[in-house]
Amino acid sequence: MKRFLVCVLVFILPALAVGVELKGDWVLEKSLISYKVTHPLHHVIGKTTEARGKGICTMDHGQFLVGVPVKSFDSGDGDRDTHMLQITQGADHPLITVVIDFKTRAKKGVPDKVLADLTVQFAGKTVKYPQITLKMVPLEGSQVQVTALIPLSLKDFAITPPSLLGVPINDSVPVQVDTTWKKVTSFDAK
Amino acid sequence: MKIRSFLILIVFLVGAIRSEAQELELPDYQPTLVLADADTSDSSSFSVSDLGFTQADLQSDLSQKDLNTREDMLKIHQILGVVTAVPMWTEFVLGLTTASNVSNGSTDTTLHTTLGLATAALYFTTASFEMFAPKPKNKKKSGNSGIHETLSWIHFPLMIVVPLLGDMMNDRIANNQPLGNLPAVHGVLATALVLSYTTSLMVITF
Repeated sequence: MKRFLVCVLVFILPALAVGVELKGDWVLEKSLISYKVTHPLHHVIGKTTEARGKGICTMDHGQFLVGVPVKSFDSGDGDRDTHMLQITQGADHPLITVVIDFKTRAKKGVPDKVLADLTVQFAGKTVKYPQITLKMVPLEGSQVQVTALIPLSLKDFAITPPSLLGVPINDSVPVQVDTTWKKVTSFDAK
Repeated sequence: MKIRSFLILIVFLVGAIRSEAQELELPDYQPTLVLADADTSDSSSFSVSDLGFTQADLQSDLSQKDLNTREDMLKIHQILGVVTAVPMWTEFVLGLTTASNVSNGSTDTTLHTTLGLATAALYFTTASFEMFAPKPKNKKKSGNSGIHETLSWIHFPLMIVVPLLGDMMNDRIANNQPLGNLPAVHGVLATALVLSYTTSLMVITF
């Protein structure tokens, strides 16, 4: 009987654990999105956890939409955040949207990474970032963690870099994305 | 017993495989995304409105025009703030010299008084550009700008008290009255003013 239970544990449990398939409908469960501003005198990191998103995956194709309110970013300084809102025209364009589009050859389970084309709408401009690596890690409960680094540039969005003592910040403002997506049977909101 | 165990195992495995096979049989559909267009009515596509953001989630406390005005005013505040530091430190050093001269019997404090008034005028002009700039209602002061504002609660009243004490001393010097502790108090408060002001300049970033 003990041998039987061992067999059950060895064969059945892995079969149950493998459950997550990319194919299906997904909603953004939680997220941490942060931008990093670099100036010769200091670094600033602004974070938000208020992103929302939905996506659909077929057998070989995934399309996702993520939205983040500009004003939700917190850099640890209220005045700086208001300044960020001003230079990014956050009052007129309050939402950053990111469309993620990728193809995958993974027939089963979740691939370790995929190359996705990102279309970012921000500060009234639309910029495409092709072939961005999305790293994927399957989690418990039909969830997948997706991380990415978006090489955002201020010039791309016609944003004038703010300056300190006459020295502007670096044009490159990399955005680190750490998201957890949950598979759903259907979109309730739709 | 072995056969029965084997059969049960087979049943479990087949069950697991079947459930996976059912998952693979999901209908294949082609999603259509309509992006960043909240007015879309196509039921088969995502739009920003599907994400469920409310007006309150997105609306800024200030309009873009007010944000721009605020930014312009704070830029002037920053520039004037740095400019004001120059006469303030000069006035501080001049104050030490004037105190020394007065203790040696001089009654001429004109230069110190004039530069003091000019510094005060510059200071309050600088402050007004921050005080009258449009402010977000729900934004709390935090980080370095929070420290900057806290320090203003020290140097702003000092900027009123220190010149008043200087004026009182001028009257006493002009009337040949004893100064008592006034020079010491004036000096200590002026030092606190210069240090708190300089610190509030140094903590601010873009």
